[in-house]
Amino acid sequence: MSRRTTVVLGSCLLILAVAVAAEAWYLWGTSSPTPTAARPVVIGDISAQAAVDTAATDAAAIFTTSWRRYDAHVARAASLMTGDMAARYRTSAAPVRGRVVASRTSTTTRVAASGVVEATPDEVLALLFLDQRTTSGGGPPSYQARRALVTMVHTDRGWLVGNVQTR
Amino acid sequence: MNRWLTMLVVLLALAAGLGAALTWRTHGDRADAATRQERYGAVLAAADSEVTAFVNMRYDRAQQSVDAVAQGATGDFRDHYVRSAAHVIRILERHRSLMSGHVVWSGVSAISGDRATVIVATTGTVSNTRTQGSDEPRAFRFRVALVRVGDRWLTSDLEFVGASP
Repeated sequence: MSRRTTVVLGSCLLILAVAVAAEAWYLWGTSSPTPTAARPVVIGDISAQAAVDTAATDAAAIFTTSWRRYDAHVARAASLMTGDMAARYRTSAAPVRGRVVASRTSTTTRVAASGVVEATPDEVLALLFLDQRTTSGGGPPSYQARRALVTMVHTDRGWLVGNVQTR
Repeated sequence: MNRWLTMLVVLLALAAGLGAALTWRTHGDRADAATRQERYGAVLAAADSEVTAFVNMRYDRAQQSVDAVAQGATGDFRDHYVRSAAHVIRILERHRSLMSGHVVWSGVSAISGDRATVIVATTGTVSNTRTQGSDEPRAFRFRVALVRVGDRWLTSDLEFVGASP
């Protein structure tokens, strides 16, 4: 009787252990889904929107430049970016400086629309429509409608700009 | 020995019961999240398809070009578009217009259960009598409003987003 009870209890123990292990795997062992065309956003609406809003605010700041405060602008813009992006940005901004100052060029950028293209907990791609107003040397302003794909990277400093493509 | 085994079985049974409840709730949450997330893919695909039809118009296949746009449209937008189709076709044919393009990027601006707004960037070319038949590059920005009709997302409004001073 005692041996039979032990076998029954042992079997129950084994079954329950397998059930608990399976539950634990389902709850904590499965990785978050990767984005696909059918499911491009794999985080919550609020998280995705927060990243897109940050992308819009940062892009407006990055693309709004003034020949009067060019160096301060580059420093401020770089602080919104990841290390790699900031290094690339500084490298590309340096040769432009002389031309911007000589032509007394200022550009104001406004975000006309924004949307989420793809989103994971670590990275969000945001599409931005940018309206730019540029003046040079006291001449009349020119207007440009641009499109930018901004990659936002989640870091311990929050969402930072990891890449910008414009077309 | 059996007393210890019994205690272990009871403890594991409690853990399994708690785990089952958590798994059930998590499964429901994940299924809801998957449904919400798949909506993004569906609205982007619908907007891309409609805009692709809109930026691919040919005077030599004018009716098919207009029909392709109408197929993805609904409501007042569709009614208005279909009513003005004859005018659109006349203009396409008169100017021998050939417009081709594709979607570069698209993103969801807003989304709810049965409504969404998508912005779309396209690039392409246009040629007509004014360009003397040569292809000129065209880049457009669109804002597309979509509504869910049955199991399809259809365009209820489509507008160009120009540069504002």
